[in-house]
Amino acid sequence: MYLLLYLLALAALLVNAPPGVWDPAAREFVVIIGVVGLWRYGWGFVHLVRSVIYRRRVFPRWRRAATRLAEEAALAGDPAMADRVFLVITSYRIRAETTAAVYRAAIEEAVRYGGPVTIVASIVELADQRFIKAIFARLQPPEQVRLVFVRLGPGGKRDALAAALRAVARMRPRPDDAVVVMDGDSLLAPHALSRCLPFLRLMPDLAGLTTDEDAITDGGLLMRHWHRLRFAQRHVLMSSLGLSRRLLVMTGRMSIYRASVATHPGFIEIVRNDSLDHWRLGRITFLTGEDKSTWFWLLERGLPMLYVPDVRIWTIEEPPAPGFLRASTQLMLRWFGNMLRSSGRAIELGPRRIGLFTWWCLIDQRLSMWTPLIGPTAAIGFALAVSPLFLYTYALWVMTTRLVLGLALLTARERISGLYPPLLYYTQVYGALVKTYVLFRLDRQRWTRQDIARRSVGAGRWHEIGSTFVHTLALATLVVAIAFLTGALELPPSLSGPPIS
Amino acid sequence: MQGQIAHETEIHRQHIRLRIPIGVEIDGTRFVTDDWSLGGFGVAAEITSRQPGERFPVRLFFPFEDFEIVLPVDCQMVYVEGKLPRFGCKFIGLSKGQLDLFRYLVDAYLSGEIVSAGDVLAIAARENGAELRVRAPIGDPFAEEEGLGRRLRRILGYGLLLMAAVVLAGLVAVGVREKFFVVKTEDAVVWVPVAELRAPFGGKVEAMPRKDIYAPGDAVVRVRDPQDRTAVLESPCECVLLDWLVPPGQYARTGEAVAALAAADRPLLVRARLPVAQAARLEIGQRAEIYLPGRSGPVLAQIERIDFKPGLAALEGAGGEGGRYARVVLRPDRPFDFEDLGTLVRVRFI
Repeated sequence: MYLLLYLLALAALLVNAPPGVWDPAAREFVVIIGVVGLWRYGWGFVHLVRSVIYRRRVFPRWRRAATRLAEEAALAGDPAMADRVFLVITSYRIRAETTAAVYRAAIEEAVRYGGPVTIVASIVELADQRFIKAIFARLQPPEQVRLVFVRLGPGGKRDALAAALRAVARMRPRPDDAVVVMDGDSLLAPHALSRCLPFLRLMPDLAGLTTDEDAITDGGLLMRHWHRLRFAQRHVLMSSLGLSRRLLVMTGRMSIYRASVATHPGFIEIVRNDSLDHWRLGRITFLTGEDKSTWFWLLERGLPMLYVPDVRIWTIEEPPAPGFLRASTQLMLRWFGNMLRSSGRAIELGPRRIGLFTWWCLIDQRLSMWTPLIGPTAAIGFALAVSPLFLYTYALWVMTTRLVLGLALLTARERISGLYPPLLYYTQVYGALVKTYVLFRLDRQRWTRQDIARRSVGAGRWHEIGSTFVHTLALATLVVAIAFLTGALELPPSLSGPPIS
Repeated sequence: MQGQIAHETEIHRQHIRLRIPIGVEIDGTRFVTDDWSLGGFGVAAEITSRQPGERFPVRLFFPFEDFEIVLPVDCQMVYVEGKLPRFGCKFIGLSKGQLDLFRYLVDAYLSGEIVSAGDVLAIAARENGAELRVRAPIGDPFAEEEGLGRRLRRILGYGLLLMAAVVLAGLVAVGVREKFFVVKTEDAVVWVPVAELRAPFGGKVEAMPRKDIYAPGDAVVRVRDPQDRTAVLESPCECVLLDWLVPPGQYARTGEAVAALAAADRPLLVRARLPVAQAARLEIGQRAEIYLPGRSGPVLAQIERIDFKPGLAALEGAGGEGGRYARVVLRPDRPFDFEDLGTLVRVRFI
């Protein structure tokens, strides 16, 4: 329905395009936009092709081998793919319905799995403890399913997860046992364990794996589609990276680690206490983004990671604020902040250590926060310098390219929505603005549900001014460069070289 | 059901054997243990100085990230395996304080907690081995920065950024001036006053002997009518033949321009066309830069004449927009080559 409306709108714009849109001057504009587009969409195409190769050719081969391994183990009377599985779930102030659904799914999956599973509930409130106990009692799992509570003060997810991992360590897991780290709003899909764990046995060097995700969103129409769009994009990107056996995150919503990794003192320490030394902002102790910390720990040691594209985890997304703009802004601030705080040091590891493709993906993450701003800025520049018709040309360009990008997601999802193209544009351009905002304010962190925030203190006021200054300078440089490129501003021949007649 | 549920934070921590290496110094020789607990340690190495049953002091080294803790204890050799080689010792007579400290170190290792020296001292002074995890304080993120080096680095960084901002502001100022305040035109040509020779009557055009430069009075062209009447058209100045407007051998009507001559003794000028509004901002004598295609630098010039009078055709409405333009004539400081005549140029008035 939305897609049809979108196509009709695009067709109407094309049919009613004023003649000036196709003028030679417009071609010049398309060249500027097109060069950036060619680069961006070319890179996107590379990801798309790699993801299709991974999902259609490479991973199915691994899946067959893993299934064979599991079947052989079952025949040998050892259906469990790991001696013990530890399901670490961190919950704090999550709605009771969500907690019930998450723990029910986890306990049922533990029962379904058949082997010994210990569910480690890292919680804060006594009410959660009672509630989870009640769910556990009601489901009456067999003896091999155990429930362990780790209760802490509300100090943030990092402390909670580190405490839970320390609890796992105290249970003396074997190195090849599995530790599943989950958020308290992630639903473990049926057979997720039996479909994921064989890979730990199949690939002895594998440190951890993560899976596809989708969202059940408790929000409006836009929020719902936006989450689903982002997860579809994630699926394509992660599949592409999966081909290199290096990922860009070990998602906190659900990732599985080998116990030798998850209980390693260094691993637990980086979960609990991770920081970044910034030349301008000082030492930034990470509040959020523990999944980026664990990812970095694996990446730093060159440990392989796996993306399992045929297992999907559902997360129950609760918008952190009323209204799409506010909620999406808060989420982007957190996600992009985590990304940017970790990617710099990962880039410093170099292509030799983390692989050229992964390394370039990290570089690209940094570049891609600026490139989406070139299009609209250039359109405005041309509109001011030449003709307002360029805004029309740009609208056509945006609608067409985002439609193609949206359709490309059909390789990852069965259905797409007509809201995807405008939401793609929103995520790219507004998201780029948010990214640039965060890039210069890496010290700002916030857990929305816990209402824990960390910002500069002490000399913070001056650093706040500094952040605004550096951010403004960066944006101004981009705008001025585009203004010169589009002719909205001109350099004298003594600076730009002799004019071409 | 109750047995399946545990409260991890309430259970007492157990002593387990650890595979994390610590150092042991026995009789001045340092070994690395590969297996230790609160009960004792094992070392995969050969030892000859001690036999099973012997009691002796050892020093245990706990390497942390940036410091090392040394714990002197007494122990007894339990076994010596010469073939492996391997030997094992058990701790004896650990004091309560040693036990507490040891237990804390074990827990710290096991839990992945990297303790600080202050933590260790606090534990050593306590009676109880169970340690509450103390949350790292959210301190001043700039406390680490108080060193001079860091401060200088930050100041230098801001300095560079300020310089970049100044450069950017300068570029914007220059860009705005160039775009909105500097008069430029691409509607300009290298030009010279041209004299036209016209046929006095209709007839065939015949070229007279060609010269590079025609002196005043030199015959340039002859017109012959069908009645064999002829008229010779002479050069009015020291001129060069610029163009045949009616090629030799063709028929010219009465009064038609046959040839164009340009004065060879006068420098080439540049004639530019500008909107009246822009031309009004110029004045005679103002400097300008002339850019010829294919030349590296500009040729400097100055305005010789500004003509705001539109052509008669424009006054009569036939010229359309032509009437809103003025003509500016510029004289270059350095004369152009004659081959440049007619070249389209750009002019920037400075």
